[in-house]
Amino acid sequence: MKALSISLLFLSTLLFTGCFEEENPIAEENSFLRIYDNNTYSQAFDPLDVKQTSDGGFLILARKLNNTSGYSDPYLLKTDKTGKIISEINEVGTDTGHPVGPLLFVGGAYYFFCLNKTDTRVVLVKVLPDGTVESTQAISNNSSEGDATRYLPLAGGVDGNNLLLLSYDNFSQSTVADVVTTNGVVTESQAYSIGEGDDYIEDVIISQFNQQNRQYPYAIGRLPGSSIFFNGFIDYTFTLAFVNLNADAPARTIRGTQADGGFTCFYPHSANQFSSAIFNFNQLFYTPVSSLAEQNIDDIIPQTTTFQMAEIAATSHVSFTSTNVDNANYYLFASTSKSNQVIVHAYQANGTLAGSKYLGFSNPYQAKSIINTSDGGLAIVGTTQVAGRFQRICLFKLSLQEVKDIVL
Amino acid sequence: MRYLYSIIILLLVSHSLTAQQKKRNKSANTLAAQKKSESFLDKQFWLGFKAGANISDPKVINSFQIFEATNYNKEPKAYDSYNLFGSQAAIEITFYVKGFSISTQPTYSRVNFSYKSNSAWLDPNNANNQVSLNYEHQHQLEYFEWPLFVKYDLTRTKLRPFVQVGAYYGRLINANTKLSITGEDFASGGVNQLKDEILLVGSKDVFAENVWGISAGTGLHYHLGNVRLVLDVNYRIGMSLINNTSNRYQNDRLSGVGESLDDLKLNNIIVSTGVVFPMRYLATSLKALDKR
Repeated sequence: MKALSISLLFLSTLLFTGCFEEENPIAEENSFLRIYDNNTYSQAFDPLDVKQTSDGGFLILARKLNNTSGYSDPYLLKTDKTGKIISEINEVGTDTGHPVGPLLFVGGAYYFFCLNKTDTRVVLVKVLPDGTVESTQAISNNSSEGDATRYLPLAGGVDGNNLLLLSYDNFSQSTVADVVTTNGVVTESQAYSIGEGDDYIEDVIISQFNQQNRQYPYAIGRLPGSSIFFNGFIDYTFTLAFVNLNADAPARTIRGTQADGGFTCFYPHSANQFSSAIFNFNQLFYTPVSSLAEQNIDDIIPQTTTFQMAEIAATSHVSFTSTNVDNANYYLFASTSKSNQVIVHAYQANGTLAGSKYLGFSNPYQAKSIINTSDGGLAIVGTTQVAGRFQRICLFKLSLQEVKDIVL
Repeated sequence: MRYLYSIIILLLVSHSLTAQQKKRNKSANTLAAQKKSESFLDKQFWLGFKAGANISDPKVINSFQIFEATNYNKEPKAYDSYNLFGSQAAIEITFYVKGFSISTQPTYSRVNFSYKSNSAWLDPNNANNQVSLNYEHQHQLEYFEWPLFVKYDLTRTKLRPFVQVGAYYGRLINANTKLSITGEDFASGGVNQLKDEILLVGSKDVFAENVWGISAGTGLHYHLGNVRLVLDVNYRIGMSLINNTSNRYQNDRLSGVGESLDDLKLNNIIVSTGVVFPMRYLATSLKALDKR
């Protein structure tokens, strides 16, 4: 009888304590994986960036590839906070192609640059947080800057209430950096030669506008409270340049190795301190934290806090973000292993490894962009090869607890 | 609902303990020898073993898919009902009072369920560019279960039919998921039959550690010598989710191929047979006194 009574009390206690699983919509918002599948055989997708919108959902910018040469198409995907599709946009404006990231958030709207497939002029696209395209417009002339026609966009950035544009002018063989208003008007500009008569570097630059070729890690931004920087080709070399757009020459450059070495990712924490990833031939390095004062001009790799990441392919895309967990800052790199898994490496603010996490298995996965989310978690957009052959967009959402599990 | 069942169970505990106390008082009365003898006839402990088979019916509460279809309608997973047999083995401990029994039956249980899904990719410009894949997901769960039943014997004959109702608590011991992918690839110059290797993954992390449910059934006791042979059939309704809502996407090997569990409850039909032995009040003839 005692055993039976104990059984009854035990079962009752379990029922009262509620240790059983119940429906939990919050858990679905905190952590998920989504693969956005299109059943068209010849279609492929290459995400460029993801942003969390004010409704908690996500806006994804991608290139749509169609198994041909030529320009890719812009593709936008809006999801809810659980990653379920709200809308997609397959055609942005008229005859647009080759979008470049990242998504630029200014004044409550998102912007990105692409080109007009007919004349290769740069087009600025404005996207509302609900995922609808409000406008597309060519970058326009500004009387103070003369002819501000821009061709072949390479990257975009944010500069306060304005945008930054990095593009290539194949007439003058120059990399061009611009400050552009959200109305598409160039207000500041400077061109930097890739090197006179350098057809090899130009071929490298032009070839990436073919949708099937490698996309170089171009970038443009502003050091906090300081000068504009960009990552692009100048003077025969893939170079990180710090520039004053009123001066003809860069104020400072950190040079790579022609087209075979340079910064894969550069994230300034302040005017002097930064985190970066560097590719050099078949190697890739992480520098979790360093200072520009310590950085040599012509030798970008040797750093006391630089680590060779042997498991990551040199051509892997690397994305960076920082996060704060329990009042401590951590620097997070998202990239792709040689075995095609997404890897997140977390470093303490002093450059010490805090932890890592591998995402994706069974099918190949590649990381493209990592962002912080409003709940303290992370979102990582990337690609996977569905059925081993169809490249599709995937979105990992990690909860705050999962982030803690990485760094603590 | 959970509290309602809890209250019912607590009332049963209370009633059972009170009845036991009254019986003890009676036993203490030296003038109640006759009644004591009668109570011997009306009370018995039974201890024994049972084993049998089960078959399951998963019920989808909420559906979740890793694959979000952008340009087609993704069909929900097609669940199979009562298609895979499982098994269970139990120790039965039963206290019998005047036709009623309270029984707990610690059980090792293995249950199986499965579902299917499929995907296809087409080329509107080339009919030969076509791939179709069929995914078959099979889950095997192992539980330690602690059911509790109230039984009532419908007759006092040698062959006694009974009915029983109760509840059970289950603790997940282990879980495995087997995923097999087959399909056809028409784009390789002919019909290429695809048959991937079966992916067998430990999946305990994506299932709930604790489950509970209610149960009702019927059966037969057959008195054979000093022992009872038991055959019972129960229908169980899962009251809690069998999946872990927080870990739905945490198993990389499964989520990597697009496998995520829905919110599921599991109903079962369980058939058991066994033998139980009387533990008290054996007469010199080694026959249980309540077996007449």
